Amino acid sequence: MIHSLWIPAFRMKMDVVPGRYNKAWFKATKIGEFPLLCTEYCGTGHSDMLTTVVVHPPGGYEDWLKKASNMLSPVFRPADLTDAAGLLRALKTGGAPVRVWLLERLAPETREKISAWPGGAVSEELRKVVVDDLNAVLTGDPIYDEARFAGVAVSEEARQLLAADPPPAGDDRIGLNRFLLVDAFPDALSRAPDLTEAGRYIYERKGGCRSCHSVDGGANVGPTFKGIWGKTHAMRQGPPVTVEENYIRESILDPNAKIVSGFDPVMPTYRGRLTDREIDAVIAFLKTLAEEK
Amino acid sequence: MSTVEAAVPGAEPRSYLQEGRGIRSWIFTLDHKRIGVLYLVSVMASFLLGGLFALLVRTELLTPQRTIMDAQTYNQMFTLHGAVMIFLFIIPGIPAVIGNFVLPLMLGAKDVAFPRLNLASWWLYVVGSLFALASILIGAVDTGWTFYTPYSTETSTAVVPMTMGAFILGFSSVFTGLNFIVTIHKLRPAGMGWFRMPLLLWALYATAIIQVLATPVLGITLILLIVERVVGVGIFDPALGGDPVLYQHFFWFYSHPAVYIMILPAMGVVSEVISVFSRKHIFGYSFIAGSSIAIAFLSFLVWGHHMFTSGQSPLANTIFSALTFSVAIPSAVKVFNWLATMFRGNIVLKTPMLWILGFIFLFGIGGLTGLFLGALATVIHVHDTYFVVSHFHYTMFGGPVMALMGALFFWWPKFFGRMYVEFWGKVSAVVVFIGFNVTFFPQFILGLRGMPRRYYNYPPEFESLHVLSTLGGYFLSIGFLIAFFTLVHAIFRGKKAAANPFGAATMEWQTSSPPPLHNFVEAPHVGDPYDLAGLVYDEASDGFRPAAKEGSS
Ligand code: HEC
Repeated sequence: MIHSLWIPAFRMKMDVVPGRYNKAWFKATKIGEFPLLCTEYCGTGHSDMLTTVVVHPPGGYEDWLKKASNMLSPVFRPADLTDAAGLLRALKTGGAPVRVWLLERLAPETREKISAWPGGAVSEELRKVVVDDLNAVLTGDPIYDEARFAGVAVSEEARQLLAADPPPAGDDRIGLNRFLLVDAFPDALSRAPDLTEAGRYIYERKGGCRSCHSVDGGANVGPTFKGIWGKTHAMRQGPPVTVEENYIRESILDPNAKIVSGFDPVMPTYRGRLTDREIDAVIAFLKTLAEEK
Repeated sequence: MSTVEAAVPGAEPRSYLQEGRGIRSWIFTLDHKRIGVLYLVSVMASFLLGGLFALLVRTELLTPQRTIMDAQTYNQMFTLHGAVMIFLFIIPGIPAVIGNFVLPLMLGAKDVAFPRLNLASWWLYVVGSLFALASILIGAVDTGWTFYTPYSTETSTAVVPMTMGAFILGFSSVFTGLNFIVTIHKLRPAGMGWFRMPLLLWALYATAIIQVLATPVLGITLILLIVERVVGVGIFDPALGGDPVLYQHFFWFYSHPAVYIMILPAMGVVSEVISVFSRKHIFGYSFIAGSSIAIAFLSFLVWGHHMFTSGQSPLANTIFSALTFSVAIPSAVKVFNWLATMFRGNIVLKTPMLWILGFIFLFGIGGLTGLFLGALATVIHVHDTYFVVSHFHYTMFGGPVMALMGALFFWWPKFFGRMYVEFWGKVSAVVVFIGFNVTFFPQFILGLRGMPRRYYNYPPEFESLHVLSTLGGYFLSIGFLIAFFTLVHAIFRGKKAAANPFGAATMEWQTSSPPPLHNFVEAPHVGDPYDLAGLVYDEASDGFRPAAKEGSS
């Protein structure tokens, strides 16, 4: 389908034509939010294809990017709730100060749902709202307070981060919060996300690698990932390369450094979009594809 | 009716309307006048249908969300509105209705060069329309009238019958054009050189050239589209290895010239009417004639201006933009000559003149806003918005439709030998003019403010202008209803018309109203088609007659 990208406030418009790369540019000079619409008729949903462009003040984009890219590794995913029922029971029972405190941090609706929860299996939906609320706590203020964590065995990693000078910020602060919460509910929450799972998530959603790389050997814009680990590939220039950690990291951060022969240099760089830990996750995921072979 | 009348010597001969009765005498007629009437009826039926779709579209747009139909139906409605209005109404409108009727008369000829081809053209029109109607019943198309790929290859609606219909209609159009070219070359009477032809004929000639040269391109394009859809050969669909922008090039290579198929004959009508109702010789005859040919030529060079945002190279964009501006020159030449014709004339504000003045005003706005769409810096913003919608309604509706209405009121007495009620004719012209501006002027503002075209849902801040536009549309329709009733009423109850009720010097007014089967009883006098000085008003018949006769008889 042909679409057309239009940002009226920027006086720019360009058709989005399948099978063809069109260039467009604009220079936003005012901070704010501006409508973005599709102006090439594309079927029943045509008039619902609209969103907004956000122009950040200097530095604002980096902040947003950080927040957006931290969404994955340090924060909880539903799968990290290893014992959801246990966590809810603990929150309901109360007693320890950290339990009372955490229950209060949850959204009122979530609290209602928890008190209405009859015990037993935790529904997918309840699990999701709880995880969302936990993540809101993680990404909020530093959560450590001596009284609050009375009676909790604080782990070694958390202790080091707490002692750090200057105090951890950004990604690290969220990581610290996560350590502390896992320490408070060690049986209910998992300490580190499963790297392979995180890698798959990046492949499918966050990094969007899937739009160019298949995992089943299918042809696409980029080479397939099926059985990629350990393979030796001919390059357009220079000697052939065996796929291992460094090469993958380089392919992600600097895709044009080495071009696989038979492909075009169209892969975008993920520098600044994927953190080191996320690249580790991708690598872990690619390794599993080799084992399948 | 008594048949004695015809036998009385000196009385008027039997008119073409009295030659033969019954449906067969019409649908198998070879008489260009009857074919003109057949076209009149079918084209007007299409106009009503297209207008109905337009009203449904406008009604849906009364509110930002759903009003009376769902998104899919809405998309079908605007597609059908566009397809019916363009392929079934405006393109055949003036050439096939007015041209068929008037062209041979203006040449003092008995008929067009190929009467059978002429009838075949009407039959093809009917078959093409049936295909289009069938597609509406099977699963009305929702691609927009432009049938852009890859949407048109993927949608589940009846694209094939509709494009097949347009393909057949293309042949109908080519046949008419071919006929007119040969007729003008071969059947001009002795004494009528090219530069003594009425300007309508120049316009129809230029139109015919475009019809014959450009329409086949559309035909081939639509066939390729059908082949791709039915057989799956990759031509335009990128999924099959084709190029969707190629379709746009092919499509606009016809469809841009097609807008001149619509506007050129309208300009011809204006040149006739403006001189008669200014009671003055046309100003700048050769410039008006030449500009028709210039427009026809340039019309082939500007198709790329429909694709400024398609990713076409900046160089191509710049060239197409410059060429687009050049079309403004011959168009403006015409407008200035019309104004100069009116200057110091004795302007008679009768119904045809009101419609034609409406044309000049609306087409002026349409043309000037076209400059915004030709200039790269401005078009990028307004492309595919309501600004464009408004622009082409000002040109295509303010132009050809106003001219067709003016032409109908002008030649109606010749068609049917009856006069309409002047008062209601004028009322209809004024109501349509006001309604038109209320409908379409707000759309310029909507487009500039960011309202894209072909939107079912729209942001609420646009609601008030949309409501205004819709109310204008209702008012406009009332104007057309008045016009239709006035014209139909004239056929049955109208006062008998004189041979030359408005005092025009072209040859069709030298024969009786309505003309006899073979058009002229005595060979008409060939002279300057705009020499109005030789005509005097005759109160008894409420018409004009040659001044010379007074002394000679
Ligand atoms: C726009 C399409 C596109 C996207 C999105 C994309 N890639 Fe690529 N990628 C390519 C192409 C094309 C190549 C081959 C050319 C080259 O080496 O740069 C490639 C090459 C690679 C290679 C080297 C493969 C080999 O067989 O030697 C790796 C590893 C890689 N990409 C990883 C990723 C990861 C991880 C992501 C998501 C975070 C990603 N790519 C997203 C297009 C893409």
